[in-house]
Formats: sequence, structure tokens, C-alpha cells
Amino acid sequence: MSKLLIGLCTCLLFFGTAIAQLEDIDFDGSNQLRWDNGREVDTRRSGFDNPDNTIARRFVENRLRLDLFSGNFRLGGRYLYFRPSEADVDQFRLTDENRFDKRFFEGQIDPLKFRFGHFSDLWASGLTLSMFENRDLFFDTEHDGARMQVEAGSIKLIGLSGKTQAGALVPEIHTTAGRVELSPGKEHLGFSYAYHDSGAHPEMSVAGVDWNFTRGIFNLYGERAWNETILQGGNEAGHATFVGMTLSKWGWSLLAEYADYNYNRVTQVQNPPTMHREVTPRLLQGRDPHVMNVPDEVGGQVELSGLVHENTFLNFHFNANSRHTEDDETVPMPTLEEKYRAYWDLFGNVDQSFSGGQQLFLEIGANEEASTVWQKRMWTQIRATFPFRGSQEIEFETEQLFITNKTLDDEKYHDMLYAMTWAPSDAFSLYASFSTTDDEALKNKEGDYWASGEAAYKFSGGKHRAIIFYGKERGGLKCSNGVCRQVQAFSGVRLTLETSL
Amino acid sequence: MKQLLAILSCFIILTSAHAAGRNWTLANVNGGDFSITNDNGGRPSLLVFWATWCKPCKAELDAMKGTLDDLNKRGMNVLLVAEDNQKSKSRVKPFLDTKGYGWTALHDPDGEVLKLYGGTSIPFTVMLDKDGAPVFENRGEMKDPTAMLAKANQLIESAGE
Repeated sequence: MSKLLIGLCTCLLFFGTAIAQLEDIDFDGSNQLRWDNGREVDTRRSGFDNPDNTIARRFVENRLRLDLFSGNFRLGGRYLYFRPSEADVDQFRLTDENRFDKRFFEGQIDPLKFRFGHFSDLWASGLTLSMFENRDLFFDTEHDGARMQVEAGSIKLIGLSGKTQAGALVPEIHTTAGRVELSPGKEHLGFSYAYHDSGAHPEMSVAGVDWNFTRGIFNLYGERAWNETILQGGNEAGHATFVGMTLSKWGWSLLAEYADYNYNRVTQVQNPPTMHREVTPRLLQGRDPHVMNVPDEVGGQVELSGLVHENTFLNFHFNANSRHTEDDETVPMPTLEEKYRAYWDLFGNVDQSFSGGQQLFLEIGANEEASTVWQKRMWTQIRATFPFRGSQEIEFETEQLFITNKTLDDEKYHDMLYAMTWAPSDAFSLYASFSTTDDEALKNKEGDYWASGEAAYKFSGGKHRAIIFYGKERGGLKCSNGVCRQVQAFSGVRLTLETSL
Repeated sequence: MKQLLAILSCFIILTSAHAAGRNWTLANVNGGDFSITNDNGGRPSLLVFWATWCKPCKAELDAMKGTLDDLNKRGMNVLLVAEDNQKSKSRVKPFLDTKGYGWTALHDPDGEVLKLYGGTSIPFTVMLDKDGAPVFENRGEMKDPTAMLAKANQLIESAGE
């Protein structure tokens, strides 16, 4: 920790002194510290029952971001201090970090914009190119290289070249790519080309076209990509299509999307949209949520939302996804057949506001996944918020999840979650949660129940926020930004400190 | 040490430039682009970072609708910056259309603008003066807008002078 503090102080002193002397230089920065101390389930000890299957968790992560601005130029970087837990090292092959892991220099000299160093980027819907970082899941496809952009009227040209920071979870991928965007008015047409080369993947070229047209209440968008993988025995071709439309009228909106991903092979810098809701109720997140299989998946989703009254917001959703069937002669459509790893999801929710400031949220849904685990699930979620005594607020929440395990002779489980939040003021809030299950296998792995409390406090006019968590939280598959990672159950203390410099 | 020297060198080079400020352009949810330097109309701006999957963000927008409408009318650019990535960004427009939020809405799918102002999570709110310099920020859901309104009033009044 002392090295971290010295590093922080040095940076602050350096930049602070410099800023004081140079009026034309402006700087901005933030710091995020996360510290865990407790125990977590160790996958290497899966033969033991809880608590003998746990291992100590000591985890520190500090991300210090600093940006210097001057005119149309910016110099930025991030200093990372990272001490993963022993289980993280084993499971994800993470290593200690104590260095500037990101730095860049960017500028604008009309009509040119450039950036040297690390950059992320998303082209259209991500079928051809999507580079991003998700520190929570230790997934990083950001590139280290150069990016140029020239804009002239309604034409934009983008070129980039660089490579990912090779790590345990993302191999080194060299990418050289170019893009043309035509945007007359609000319409949009784009053409992309990317060439990927990697020690871990074969060489691959991807071409894509994307569009976005709006006419009154109607919006049509989509992308089509063709990829070719260069193999010794002959090249392999694949393709991917994503199309969507929205209609909005009289306070109602209809969203319909379809995806046919038949890439055969993809790199980690291609990350197309999913055809399902990724952020689901918490109990569902702990029950193997659907993970899209990017090289081979076909699916669609329909969502209708609207206001039936000024204070009543309704939302209905349906999606179906599966692998492609063996019959390639027909139009690719998702199937509900188990052998094609079918997944469907149907839910509706209502969000009601009342004149006294109270709020009520109700959701009911069902889904079925025929994957490694074949389960049918039904759930309800209720959340009620009550303001009182001026600025105070209290919220009650419950989730009930009913599971039928089709892989174990229709064995049934019931997961429950109860939570309460009390916010005595805008700056301070307390949260308590309790959940339990009658699933014996899960109990043996993680214990009979999960109970936790959390306090969050904002200070210095909202520039800083501290969150302290104590208790036990459930493990499971955590998904974010299309990346999913198995997170182990944890019990202990977690401190999070977010601050602006 | 090498990295520190490299950064120091760049820092010295930068001192020859002029007029500090931030410059970014994001795609407008309703088509076209929005540039904070070219399209802000010489007015102060309020950046509200949110996402369709973020429960406290949506609660904040509902609770602040009247306040944000009022600020918008009085000369503040209210900019909703959606942090939905490619997985959920198509849900942004239907949500806003349904809710009737008429403020300028922008896509920030890789979080670049959020990071530019030191944001590490959402909801996150930043107020910029007419030159684009941040003068107020709030981390987490804003339930009491008193401090934000005081700063907004100052900016609107000074912009009108």
C-alpha cells in the first residue's frame, strides 16, 4: 500500500505544481479504489462443502486517471495498482500490476482528429469492430496504437492500427482498419474494413456495411459483416447480420431486432449486440444467464413499451435465440429445440409513480435455457419506494425465482431475495439484503443463506463517494458488455472509494 | 521511470499550446452528431450520464424531469448521455420517446466522455460552464438538487449578462 500512496502523492504533487505554474493547462482526474478482505469459494476445492471450500480473499485495485488539457490537445493516462486474490490468480491467471497501464495523446487540428496510445472504439453495432475495457471482468480489448479521423461535411474517414495488451483473458490481436461514414442530415451509411492478426487466432479480414435511417416515427438500423479467415487448408468464410427497427408514437414504442451470427470464427474485438436483455433480476444473474455464442447464433427480440397514463410505464419483452439448425437451406430463424441450445425469455413489467412521490415496480417473467444447464425459470420482482420526512426515502424489494431443473428429473428450487434501502439524506444511504434457496447443491457450495449490508456516503458536494459492504454475496455468472465471467461467492468486507481530483 | 519521463516530455510540449478546454463529439440519438464546442450555443451545459439498464439513473430522470425541463427553458443545455453499449443502445431512443424526454440525447457507448470528466460509475452528473469547464459534479443518484440548482442559477445569470 505504501508504494501506492507514494505514487499517488507524487502524481498529485507533480501535476498540482505544474498546474499552478501554467495557466493554459487544465487537468482532470479521478481515482477508484476497491479493497476486499474476506473469504471466497475456491473452485479448486470443489469437492469440499462450504465453508471448507473457501480460501482467503485479499484484493486491492486502485485506478488513478489523470488527463491534461491544453487547447485542442489532451494527454491522459491511468496508473493501475492491482493485487488480485489467490483464487483470481489461479482462475483467471491475473498478475500483480503497479504501473501506468494506459496512456495516450490526442488532439484536433481541423479537420483531423488523432490519438496515439490506448484507445477504445465501437464501429456501428460492433459486428466488425468493438474495442473496450471492462475492469470488473478483467476483459480488455482496448488497443495501443494510433487512430486518425478526418471529417469533411457529411463524410467521415477513420483509420486505426494497433494491438491489444496481451493478457491472460485477451490475446495480442493486431488490427488495422478503416471506415467511411456518410451522414447526410440524420441518415447514416457506413462502410468498414478490418484486418486482424494474432498469434492465438488465424489471420482474418472483415468487411461491413451499416445503416441508420429515420423517417418520422420510424427508425431502421442494422449492419452486415462478412469475414474471411485465412487458413492453411483454404480460407473459411462467415457472415453476420443485425437489423432492427423502432416505431414510436403516442407515448408507445416498439422495438424489433433480429440477428443472424454465422461468423464461424471471431476475434475478441468483434462484439455484436445480444438478442436478449443482459441486465436481469439479481437472482436470475446467479442462475447461469444466457451467454450468446457469437460465432453461431440466431435470434430475435421484440419489446413494446409505453405510457398508459402519465405515471404508468409498461414494458413487455420476448426473445428467442438458438444455434443455427443443420438445415442451411431455409431462412435462419431461432428454434426452440433443445439440441440447438434454445433460449427464450418472456417478461413484462410496470413502473408506477404516485402523486406523493411513491414508486412501485412489478415484474413477472419466465424463460428457458437448454444449454449446459437445462432449466425453466419463473420469477417475480417487486420494488416499492416511499419518500418521507422531506428528503428521507425507504425502499423495499423482493425477488422470487422458481426453477425447474430439466437436467435433473425436473428437480425444483425456490430462490428468494429480500432487500431494504434507507436513505436518510441525499448523501447517505444504508442497504441490507437477505437471500436464500432450497437448492441443496447450491447450499453445499455456498452455504444456507446470503446476508449483507452496505453503507454509501457522498461528500464534498458529491465529488467523492465511499461505499462499504459487509456480509456474504452470491456467486454466479456475471455478465456485462457481452462478456461473462464466473464470479465466486464472497464473504467479508469490501471498501470502494470513488473520488474526483 | 521511462513512462514518467515520457509523460513529462509530452507535458512540456503541451505547454506551448493555448486556450485550455475539452473537445468532444458524440452521436445524437435522433441522428447526426453533437459537438460540445460547436453545438452548445454558447450556453452552459448539464451532462446527465445514465443507461437504460440503470435503475437509479431512471429514477433520477423521473424525479428530476420538471427541474431539467425548467433548466432547459432557462438556457441550460440539458444533455442526456447514454452509457448503453452496443448491447443495449437500441433501447435508448424508444425509452426516451416513450417517456417524452425531449432533451438532447447522446450515445457514449464506450464511456469515453464519462471518463473524460472523471466518471467511474453512473448515475453521474456534471455541469459545464459556457466554455466547457466543469463547475459541478455529483456521483450517484441525485435526490436533492439544491446544490446543483444554486450553481445552475449562477451560470444562467452570468451567461445572460
